[in-house]
Order: sequence, then C-alpha cells, then structure tokens
Amino acid sequence: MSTQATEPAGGFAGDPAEAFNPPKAGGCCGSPATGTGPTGRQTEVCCGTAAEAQASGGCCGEAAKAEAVDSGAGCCG
Amino acid sequence: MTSVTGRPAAVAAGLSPQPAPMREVVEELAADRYAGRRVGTAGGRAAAAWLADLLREAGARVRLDEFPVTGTVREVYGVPTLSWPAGGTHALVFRRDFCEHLASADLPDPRTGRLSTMDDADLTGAWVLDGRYSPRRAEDAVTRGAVGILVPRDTDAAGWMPKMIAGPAPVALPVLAVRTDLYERMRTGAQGSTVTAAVPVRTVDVTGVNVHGEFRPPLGGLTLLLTAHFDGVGDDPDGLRFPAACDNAAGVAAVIEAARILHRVLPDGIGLGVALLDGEEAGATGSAWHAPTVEPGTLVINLDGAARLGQAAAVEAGGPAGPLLAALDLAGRQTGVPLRAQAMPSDNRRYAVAGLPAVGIGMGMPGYQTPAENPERVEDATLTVAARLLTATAVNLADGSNPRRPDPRR
Repeated sequence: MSTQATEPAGGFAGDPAEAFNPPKAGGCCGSPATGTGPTGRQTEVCCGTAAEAQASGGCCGEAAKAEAVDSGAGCCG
Repeated sequence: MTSVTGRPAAVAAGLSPQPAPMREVVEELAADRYAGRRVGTAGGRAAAAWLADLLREAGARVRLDEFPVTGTVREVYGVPTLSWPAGGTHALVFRRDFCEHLASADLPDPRTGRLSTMDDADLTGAWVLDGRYSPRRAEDAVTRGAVGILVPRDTDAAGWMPKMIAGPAPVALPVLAVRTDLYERMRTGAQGSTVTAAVPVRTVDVTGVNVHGEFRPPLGGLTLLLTAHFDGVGDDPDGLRFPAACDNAAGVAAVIEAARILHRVLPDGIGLGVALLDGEEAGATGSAWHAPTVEPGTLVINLDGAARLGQAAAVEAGGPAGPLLAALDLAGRQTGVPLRAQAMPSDNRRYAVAGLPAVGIGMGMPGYQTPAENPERVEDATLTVAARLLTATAVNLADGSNPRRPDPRR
C-alpha cells in the first residue's frame, strides 16, 4: 500500500456527518432546481429532508410532498 | 495539501471503468421500445428482462422479484387538452403550456366553463384560477359549483413541465397546472372568457419487478449492495418520449460497470450484490419491498443520477453508515470527486429506514423528467467518475484502507 499526497479536490469539504441530515435541496439528486420559469419560483422542493421522510414513513416528507403536489410540480414519493 | 492513505481504486484494481459499455446501457434503456420504462408497463418489464440478461452475462446469479404498487401511480391515459379562445390560444401545448395536476379528478371529455377566481361570489360552472391551491380549497370550489381548477406552474429552463407520476388520492374536480405567465394573463383577462379542458388521468394499480444480481454470495462478513432504479415516468399517450437517460439509466449503467469490476477484484469472502429497482418514481416502492428482506449489516450504496457531476456529488447517509461514509469520503479524495451533503430522496431512504447502513449518491439529472432527458445529456466523464467512486468506496471497505477516523455520527 502506498501513501501519496493529493490536492484536497475530492471528498467532503466539510464534516461528512452533515450527510446524515443534509439541508433540504432546491433540486433533486445533485441537480439544480428546475423552476426557472417566469416567476423564478422553485417549482420542486425535492420532497423534504431525510428526517422528515423517516417521520412520514416514506421516502419523502409528508408536508414537503403535499407542498410539491399542491404547487402543481409533484413529488417522486 | 492533504495526505491521503489508500489506493485509488482503479490502481488497486488494475482496472478502470470504461465509458463504452455504460454508454450502451444508457442508450439501450432510453430506446423507444421501452417507452420510458414506467412501472407496470410492457416497456418497464422489457427493460427488466434486458437488464436481467445483462447481469447474467456479467456473471451474476439473477432473480426477478415482482411486487404490487397500489393507489399511487397516476396515469395520463389520453392527451389532456386546454383551450382559451379569448387569449388567442385555441390549442395550448401539453407539458409546455399546461399539464395534469397529480391530484386531478378524471375528466375524459372536454368541459367548457367561464374563467373565475376563488374571490368571485358565484363559481357555478366555472374553471377557477387558484394560485393557492390545496385539497381544502378544492373542496370549497366543489361545494360552490366549480367545474375545474387551474393552478400556476413554472417550467424548467427549456420550457418543459417535468412529469411526475406519484400522486395522492384525487380531489373531486379536474385540476390543470398552467404555465405561470399564461395563468397571469388568464387572471387579468378572465372577465367574460371561457376555457375548455379535458384531463384524462386515473390511478392505476400495477405490478413492479426488481432485478437482483448476486455476484458473490454473502458469507457472513462484509456484504455490499449497489442499487439504482431503472424505471422512469413513461412516455405520454401522444408519443411524447421520456427517455429517462439521466434519471436513471445513467445510474444503472455506472452500478453495473462498478459491479463488473468489483466482481473481478474483491477479495474472497466479501458479498457483492446489485439491485436494479423498479417503482422509484412511484414512491420508491421497489426498494420499500426489497429493503426489509436484506441481510442486516449489508452496506447499501444507491446511485440516482450520474449524468452531469457539476460542482459536487450529492450525498445523503442513513442508518449506521459511519464507516461507509468514511470509505466514500476517502474514495472521493482518491478519485478527485467532490462530495456535498445534499438531500437524496431516493431508494437509499428505504434501506436506511430498514436499519441498514445506506448512502445515496446523486451526480445530476439534466433535463429531469422531460423529453430532453436523452442520452446526449449524459456525460461519459460523469459515468466514469461515478463508477470509479463506487469502485473505490467498495475497495476501501474491502481492504480496510479507510483511515481510522471517528464515526461521523458520534
């Protein structure tokens, strides 16, 4: 096994533990938000945080899912 | 400078992910014959069969596992229509100017009504413009005699309204989402004008099928499960294609390529399986079916989106995933892939809820759930780094080269 020095270009820039409770995203799964229409309003909210999803017993938070559906954008969960 | 202990996986393996076979998977799954791969359709089943053959050729023992999907899938079974003659728009364009609302009642035949708003005293026979839609307000509109509801919705940068299929129980009125600027024109010019609309949408109960490939049986030690969903939202009845190349043919391709490499290079005694999941677009129903059956302690890595990396890969962790996350972090540094904590509402959450260590990784979905999500939007470079990241993570876990770092959860 070798030891090498590399530029810190990859991996987490901050604390990896943040991945256990990441912030709610404007876009889904590594993509930016899709709502870039005339109002600039984000039309999908990526269906909530992991904690919200777990509390709802699904893959999406119940409130975030309802919000996404009501807005007309919909939710994957 | 940061000192990194460990080997880049490609070096460790003597093998590098190749873009060509991944590109073939993406183009195959995005082909017309699979019709967008919606769960419970002939196209979805055909895609599952093709993937099963592919895994067999790669050396896996393959099993197909069917499961029910009830009360969730909203199916557009005819082309919705909307016309507003007073606005000079006799035939507005479905998914450009308007689209179905997932809570809509079925309205197979066109219905004409005057335009109104919830502030009007009399909604009898009216299509109601409602910028604050909710199921409760829909109930109010029903009791006041409305015949339908129009809500505003923005488009993506290319002018599409991304398609979703997982919906709640429908309300009692047909509901359409109308492009925001058009909605505003309707609202300001509503007096005396009428619209005519049809919304042929229904809830269907279907059967999904997960594709499982066991490359190495679990032997009681470390077992890795790589997952990616292969389903899409399906083509529209008018033939409008939803190739679902980025979400998630690309993820499937990278997972299979990583498994091929790992099958050749992992030490004996380490279990390796692949689950290509159906029904993710219908509420992650495939993983919800599968997760409770997975051997406790199995390490799950889910990839959803591998088309355009951008600034960083999104990562969400769940369950007792500290060592898995540490191995992924190291792999990111070894391969030069930046990682960022970001919500990943995908199949990984089902495995985490089942108590398994699980991470979800996302590397972008340009054209998300629109006809523009075609194979040309999938970057070979992103496919390659996705497969490399998965491979490196697995190798780190297998050879124990992840550094002795504190469990990130503590």
